[in-house]
Amino acid sequence: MADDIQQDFDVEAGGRGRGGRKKAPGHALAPDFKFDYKDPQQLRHFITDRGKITPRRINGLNAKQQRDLTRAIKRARNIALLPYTATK
Amino acid sequence: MATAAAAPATRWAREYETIYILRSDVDSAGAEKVVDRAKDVIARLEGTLTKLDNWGKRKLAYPIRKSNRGIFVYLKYVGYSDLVAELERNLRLLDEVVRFQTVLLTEDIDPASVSVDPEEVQYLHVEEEEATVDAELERARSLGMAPRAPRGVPSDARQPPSEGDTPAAAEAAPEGAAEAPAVEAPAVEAPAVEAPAVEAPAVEAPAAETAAEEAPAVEAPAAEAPAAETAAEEAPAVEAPAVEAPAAEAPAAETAAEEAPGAEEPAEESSEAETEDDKREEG
Repeated sequence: MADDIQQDFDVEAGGRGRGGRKKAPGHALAPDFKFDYKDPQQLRHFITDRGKITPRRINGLNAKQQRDLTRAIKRARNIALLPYTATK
Repeated sequence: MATAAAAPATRWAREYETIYILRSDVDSAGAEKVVDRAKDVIARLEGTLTKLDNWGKRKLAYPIRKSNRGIFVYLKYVGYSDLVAELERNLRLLDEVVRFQTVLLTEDIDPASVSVDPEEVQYLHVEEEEATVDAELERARSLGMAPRAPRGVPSDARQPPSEGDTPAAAEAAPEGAAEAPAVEAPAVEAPAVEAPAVEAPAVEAPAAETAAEEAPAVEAPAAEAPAAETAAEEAPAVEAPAVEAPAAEAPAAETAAEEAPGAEEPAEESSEAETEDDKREEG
């Protein structure tokens, strides 16, 4: 299931050439990639302008990575490296 | 678990990391005091500090205790769970520490195997990076204060559409109504600065025509509030015509122009009112 979604993204991103759909930020991650809550710059790619965690539908992560991401973002929020909410 | 059998032989330790945030007004001596206390606790409970890192003063993602900045310190150590409890208890007692968080990194470490690089556990004082000036400038810009205030007229022209729906409109309108010619005088002057001639209407062709058409309406009740409001409600292009109407009308405008220095003040007031207005909109 997770692989299917990932593949969907791959197909869409790869098959369209220029002007195609933007690749999801999770696209380039290695399968065993671990998120680090101490690195807010990276985590910022996976939150919205308002500070919400993006869904897998948007970020293209697999389930395991998404859990890892959620954990990291919540830790980063707790220690004030990321906002709980933001207004834009 | 498999480790349960081995437990009596060696007491397995765990590796933790703790980040704590100090109040931004803590000086280096105060920061040192906190570090010393943490080191002391770790040593007392048979832990080993493996890494100590001062991240320096950073911006917080959200204000904590009404402060937007804090000094981040990172500790990595090997120890037992009672060590974490004791360390956190100590951090809680210290007034300088506003936030801390401990995370378990690895389980089941043989404490004897831990080696420490002495360089890693030095507490280094980080000199403050000064970004405050830029931040304030940026803030001023975001509020629309700095660049807009000086050039009163363009913002004048831009203002009316938004005026309609804000309370400031009510304030601005009576002001204009009370001394209609006087207030408009500086406005007349200002176009002169911008546009080639005092008779700007000719330059601003189509707008001027509409102005001429509206002139009768604007001119007569100019002293009265409703007229000023209708003028304000009209598009930016129309604002200028409204200004020109008195000029077309005559000597009154010229005298107004002569009164310029005195008349300038109201204009400034109105521009102030607008910047306030902007703030309200952005806020």
